[in-house]
Amino acid sequence: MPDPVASIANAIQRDGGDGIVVVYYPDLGVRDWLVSEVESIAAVETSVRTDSVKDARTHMDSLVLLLPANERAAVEELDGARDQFLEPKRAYPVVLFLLRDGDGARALREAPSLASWVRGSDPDPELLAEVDVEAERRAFEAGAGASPEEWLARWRAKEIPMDASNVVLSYRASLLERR
Amino acid sequence: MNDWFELHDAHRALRATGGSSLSDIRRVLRRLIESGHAESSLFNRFTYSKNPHTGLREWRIAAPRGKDRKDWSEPLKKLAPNLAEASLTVLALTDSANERLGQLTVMLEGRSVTRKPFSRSVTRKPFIVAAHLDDRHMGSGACGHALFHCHVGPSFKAMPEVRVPLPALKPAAALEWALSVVLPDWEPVPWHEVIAHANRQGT
Amino acid sequence: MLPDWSRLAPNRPLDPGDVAYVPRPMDAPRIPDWILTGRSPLLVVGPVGVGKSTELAFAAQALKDSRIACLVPLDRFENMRTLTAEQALLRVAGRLAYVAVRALHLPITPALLDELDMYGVLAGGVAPKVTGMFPVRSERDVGDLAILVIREIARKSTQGRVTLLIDGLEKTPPEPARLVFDALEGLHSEVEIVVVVPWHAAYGPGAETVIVPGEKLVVVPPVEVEGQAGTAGVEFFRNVAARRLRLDEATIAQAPDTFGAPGGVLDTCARLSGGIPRSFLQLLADAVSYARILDGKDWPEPVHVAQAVADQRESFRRLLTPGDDDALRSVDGKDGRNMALEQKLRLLAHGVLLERHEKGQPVMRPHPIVKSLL
Repeated sequence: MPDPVASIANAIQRDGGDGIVVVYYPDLGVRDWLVSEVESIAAVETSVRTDSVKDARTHMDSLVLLLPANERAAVEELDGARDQFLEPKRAYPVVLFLLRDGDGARALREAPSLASWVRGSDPDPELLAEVDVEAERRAFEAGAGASPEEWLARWRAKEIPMDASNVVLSYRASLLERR
Repeated sequence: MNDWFELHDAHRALRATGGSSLSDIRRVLRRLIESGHAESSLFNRFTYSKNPHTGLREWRIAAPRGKDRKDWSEPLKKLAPNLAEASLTVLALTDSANERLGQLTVMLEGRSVTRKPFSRSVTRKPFIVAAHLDDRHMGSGACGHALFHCHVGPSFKAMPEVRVPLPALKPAAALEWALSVVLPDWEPVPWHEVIAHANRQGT
Repeated sequence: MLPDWSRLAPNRPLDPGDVAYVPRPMDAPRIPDWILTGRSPLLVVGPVGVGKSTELAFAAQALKDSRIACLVPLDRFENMRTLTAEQALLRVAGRLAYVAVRALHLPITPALLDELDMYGVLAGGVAPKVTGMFPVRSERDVGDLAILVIREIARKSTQGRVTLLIDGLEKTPPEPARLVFDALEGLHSEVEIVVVVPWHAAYGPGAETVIVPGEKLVVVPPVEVEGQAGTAGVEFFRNVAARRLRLDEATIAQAPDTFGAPGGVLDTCARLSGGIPRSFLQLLADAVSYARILDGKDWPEPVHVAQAVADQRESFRRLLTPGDDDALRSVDGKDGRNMALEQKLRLLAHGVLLERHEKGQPVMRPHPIVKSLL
């Protein structure tokens, strides 16, 4: 089962902690939230936000959150200067945020060196988090004997007893509820 | 009456922006792990799913793979004396931007142990400690069923059915409170820090 | 005692003389063999992560008794996307002078060091302490400067000859790469040269301007890991893991059965790597990381490898452009002559498509993880 948090944690930790990581985002609002989520998951003392690859290289002892406006230029620079991140050894990785299906993502297709480094550590957490709503609704109905809407109506009317498992079920039903 | 209006307003404010502080939960989980109350993988198992149509996110603690365990319930260790078991559940619903906190549940279920004097027999009794932020008005009003309230007792339904109104604690603080009930050494703000803080504030 | 998994370091090539080096299972001559038989220049090509840098480091170590074998990792100093011929020559000269002074303790003319220092290509501590005693000839042609350094070192060393092993040029786009190769051409008569070249330089339009008659193209192929022929390859990867992790018997004894057993974690990572060492190390490191993150386990199990494979599958999926699926399906098992050249070079460069030798013939195969996407 894909997991957005585990994928971020894995990407940050995999290369001994000093690699380059790519995190894809769908829009700027979610990017800002993902940046703080990455900081939270990395749980490091210091993190630095920058839009410059050169600046990223200078912060050896910090988690670097690289947020370039020109994502293509950043990818090309990282592709060409990739190995300069090897020495001296970094304490934490550089995390490059790229727009899903954006120009930076396209540039990565033309950047074999960088693409090879980040292979397997380039999650799209928002995509990984998405549930297959129809499949989950079917599973819910099979388990609870009612659609999420029907179940929630009874729950809110206090016709379903309040216990731990039903509290949990109420969250799942709310997630799957049609609005 | 003013107190109840104020409380309701504070709860509404918590709902409006509480989602953005949800990741602070990890800070508490980390402390739980460091103090030996939970296994190390817990930190990265506080995760979320998203409905791509509505943007709604459901937060929960996922079970480790291959473990025969309820997916929402994390067993804790090094409990207070006379507690045989306690399992932690954290659930939340947030919007697409992760700003609005639609619902929050921090719950501890477990069993206490009572030994009869001069006897080998023990009695195990269930208990529950739960803080809920409801997604809508429930009950008859802000006093009897505050939006953010807690239950403490043998079950949710044990009579009298008590819902204690909670102040508008952020999710991580609500978790810290619940843990303080079952963990003997769990005090995020010891009195000496409170006094030092008060001195700094000049109060 | 548990393994120090951070030693897997998938992105770090080995340094010359690193005990973690494992010889690749191959019958063909290696880089040092070609050099020792007088074949220079050697152009080295291979998919990303196949171990070109590690092979160069091994060659530098193997040749060091008979010549000054100087590894020049250009990519550690320069942005290879914007590299100029002048920068490349200066880096070669600077690196050579550094090795001569620091490792070989050769007395290099201070004026020469001064000049290199002026260009900022001498690593710290090598430049003469007293500067200004000799005129700095900033107007000197950088090709001449490189030749001066090479000749002085060749003359003062006991070995008497210099071999340059130049790494990183596979990242350079076609036009700047051509200019760099032209500049390096000027050094051919002075030194033996081994240089990693990009796919486009080896196989693309205009390749004849890079690979001229007399130059030898050495392909570092993926290690064979499929079927019976792949048994030695899988064993190679098991050794790579053991050497990198410095696994001893006591540590191995702690591992769960599913780790090292035939068909277990190591073998699965080896087979799904497509024979690319970096892929193997990434899969294993990924699996280790997932074991720790999700389950708090010290050793990866097959379920964690599955998660690692799923991550790599998504990475590969993002690299594919419309039409790649069909092209990969139709080239599978063929020699690739009918594939559009630009598409073939792109897919080869990414390691999405792997060139293998089966029954003595070159055969194109999609990476095993890519195959599951088709």
